[in-house]
Amino acid sequence: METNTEKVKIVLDGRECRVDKGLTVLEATRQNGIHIPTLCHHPAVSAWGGCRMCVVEIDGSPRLAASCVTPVRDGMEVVTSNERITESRRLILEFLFSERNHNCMFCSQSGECELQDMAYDLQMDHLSVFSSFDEFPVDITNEYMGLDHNRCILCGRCVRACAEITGAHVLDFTSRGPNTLIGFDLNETRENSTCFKCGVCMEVCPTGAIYNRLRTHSAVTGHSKEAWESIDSVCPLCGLLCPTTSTVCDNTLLTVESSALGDVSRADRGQLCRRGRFEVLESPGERVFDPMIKDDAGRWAKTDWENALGHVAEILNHMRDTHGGGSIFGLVSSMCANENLMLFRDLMTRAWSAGYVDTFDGNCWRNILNARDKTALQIREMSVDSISEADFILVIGEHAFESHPVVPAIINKKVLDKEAEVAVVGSGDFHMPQINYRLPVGEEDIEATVRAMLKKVLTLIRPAVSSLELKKFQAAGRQIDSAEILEEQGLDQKELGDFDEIARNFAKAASPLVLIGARSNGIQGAPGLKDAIRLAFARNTGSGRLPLIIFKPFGNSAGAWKLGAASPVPPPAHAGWKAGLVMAANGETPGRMVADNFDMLEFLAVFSPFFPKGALGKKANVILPVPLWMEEDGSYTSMDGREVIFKKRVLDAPANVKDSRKAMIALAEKAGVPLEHHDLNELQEKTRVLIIEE
Amino acid sequence: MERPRIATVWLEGCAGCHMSFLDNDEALLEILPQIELIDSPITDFKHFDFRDADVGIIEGAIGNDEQLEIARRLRQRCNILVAWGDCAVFGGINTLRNNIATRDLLSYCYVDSPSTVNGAVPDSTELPKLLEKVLPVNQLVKVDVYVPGCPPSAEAIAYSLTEILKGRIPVLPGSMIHFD
Repeated sequence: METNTEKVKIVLDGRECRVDKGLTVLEATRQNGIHIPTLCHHPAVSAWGGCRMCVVEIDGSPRLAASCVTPVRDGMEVVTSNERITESRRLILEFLFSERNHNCMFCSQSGECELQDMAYDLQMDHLSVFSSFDEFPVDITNEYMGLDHNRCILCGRCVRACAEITGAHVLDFTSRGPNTLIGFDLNETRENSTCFKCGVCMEVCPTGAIYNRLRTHSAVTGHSKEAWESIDSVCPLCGLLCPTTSTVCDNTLLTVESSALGDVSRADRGQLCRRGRFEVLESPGERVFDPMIKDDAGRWAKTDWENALGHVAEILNHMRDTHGGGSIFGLVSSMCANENLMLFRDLMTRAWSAGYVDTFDGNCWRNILNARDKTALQIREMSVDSISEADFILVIGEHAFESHPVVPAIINKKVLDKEAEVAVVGSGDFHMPQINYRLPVGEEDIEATVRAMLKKVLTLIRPAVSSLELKKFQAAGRQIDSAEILEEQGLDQKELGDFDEIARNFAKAASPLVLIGARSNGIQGAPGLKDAIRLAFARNTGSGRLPLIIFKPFGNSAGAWKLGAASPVPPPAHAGWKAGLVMAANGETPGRMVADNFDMLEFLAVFSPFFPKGALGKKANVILPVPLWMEEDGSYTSMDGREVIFKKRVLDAPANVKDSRKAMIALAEKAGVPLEHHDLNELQEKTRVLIIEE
Repeated sequence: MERPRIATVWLEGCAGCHMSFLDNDEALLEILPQIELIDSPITDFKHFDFRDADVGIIEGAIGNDEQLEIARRLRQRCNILVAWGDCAVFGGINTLRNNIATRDLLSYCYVDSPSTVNGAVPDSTELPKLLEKVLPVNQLVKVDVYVPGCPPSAEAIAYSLTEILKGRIPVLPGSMIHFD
């Protein structure tokens, strides 16, 4: 195949090859199926040429060259392996081993270590140089990751990954020579540093220097790597739905890594976060393995599915027949897959004409609906990838990215690369060391601040697309002194200056973007949401999408809302619910308005992988155990609601845990109202169509 | 080589390498008639003034003056010296003490440890003295053959012996090298 790229002719181990100009020798050899050992090189980060493991002989030169940093040249003759090269590589390896404590027998990473693999490959059966036996510190301040400097070979992969992939620049080399250490910030511990524990350094570390404290010794005998399976899937813990590769052995999840690490075409460059990498390895509660029924004394007792489903169907039918559907409510988690959400909604309405069906995050949906009605604007959001194109990012909300830890990393990298400026309205932790402008107003003052901002912006620009609404604001804005409003909130002179700067820059930016934090769009109301949407609208280009991203609390909130699983009206104050059915996915607890209605409940059944806690646990009469999200296939909706992404099952569910869809279909049959969707493929297609064609 | 004379010693190690040698099970029936095992912990020898051997084998690192003496004598008395296991090859787990001064180490073990009452550091002249650092064998005497592993697999031990019996100095293939 001819491409436009210029080619050069090189000779690799006696074989003539035509390769793209601009490649390194290492890349050229790999493309031609020749293996060269590397340690400091990692495909997801830039080349460094530090370890010299990849040395090759070029044009018979007596000096070996590091292939990872040597570009190909026309006519170049490369020898990748001979006695001299192997000797050189083995000696380098012996130096690395002798420098620090690389005794595999007491290293938790043994069996899964690139340094060890390389020693075996190069038949390094002893050290011909003296070992130093010097002792180096170990940092175990963080609960997830340890850093054992004794195992470190100073390859610098972590330093480059931290800078290039996450943009955090937390890691770097400190001290010099044999005392060189990897350090956090200005010699801080990991826990006290600005590290946000995404674990990318651990993912690229070739040795046991940065290791997962939740999964030490996972490659020991008995869990030999040959039995490991890698499964590509996505992480549904938040709406970013990051692509993952999970390593599984004996139905145990060993690690979750990124399947797109260093992919520069993605806004996040394929990084994962603390939640997706570490929290998934911990259980959020006590697992339920069999259907459970609470006895009169309030103790849980095992039962079988037949009995449990029959019991739930019978009582809900009875409630419907005696008190009407209005006495029954349903509540479903937005972490469930599209198919589960639609089945749940259908089950509640068709089988029992339930009076109220909602999601755990229904309030957020209603806040957005309310904002839509008040602003009379179509809220069509941008995708997360559009952060790449933004040059001025306005973040609104307290702790805006608590549940989406990858987002601040994306923004931070853009700010450091001087591709964008970022302004934050709201207090709290944002995990962004580089914020250009900051108005640290409390939750209660966000609304007034955003309103003042909107007015200020509208005095500066004429929106490309106008509406009556905005005109009204524009007229009013001229008479309002923003500074006066802001002074009332206790902003100092510098912050007032920042306020003006934010407004000016937002008004004149080529591609501004408004990001609304998940919490601010939250359960307790949505301060400033309306005006934030108007702000985005003021800079609307007429493309049909507002320069706006509203972060949503759960992994499939967008899908849940689009499929109508969330109620457009809040739960009534005295609903008089007698019975309910809940589907939880990850230990969710209902909001106050729902829980307030639990007093009158006579019966509550909960689909859940875990024993429910709080109000749910107290009121539940039956638990129907369903798989964890990683034990079930399902499709999820991207946060902008435009894309459906398939999440593949990673683990097998325990024996007596029923697939949630099969459980719902069986329950509907017991209730005497069979659901129309039995075929799961058909169900998947139906939800996909519903979501894509809004 | 006609029935080479072999001496094995157990220095600062756990005897796991010797166990791994015995772990060759029925394969031992093929190896043993071909060798003469003159001194070995397996034969419960008590004398350290070795007879001349063709092959000397050391399990364990060198951590005190007695072990150093044994290693030196064995080296003098044999043609080929083999290091068995991670301790002999790299120092192994014994090297964990290399960052503690021997005086502190002894006083912790015999006096200060929480479970000791009225302890005293043994000072009999009959007892060997600790070296400042535990070292792999090749940092003190010349080693010809390395069989790393903790322990080395029975297969690796058998392979290295068979190669020696065939008159070759063995180098383990990568598949037989492991460090844990």
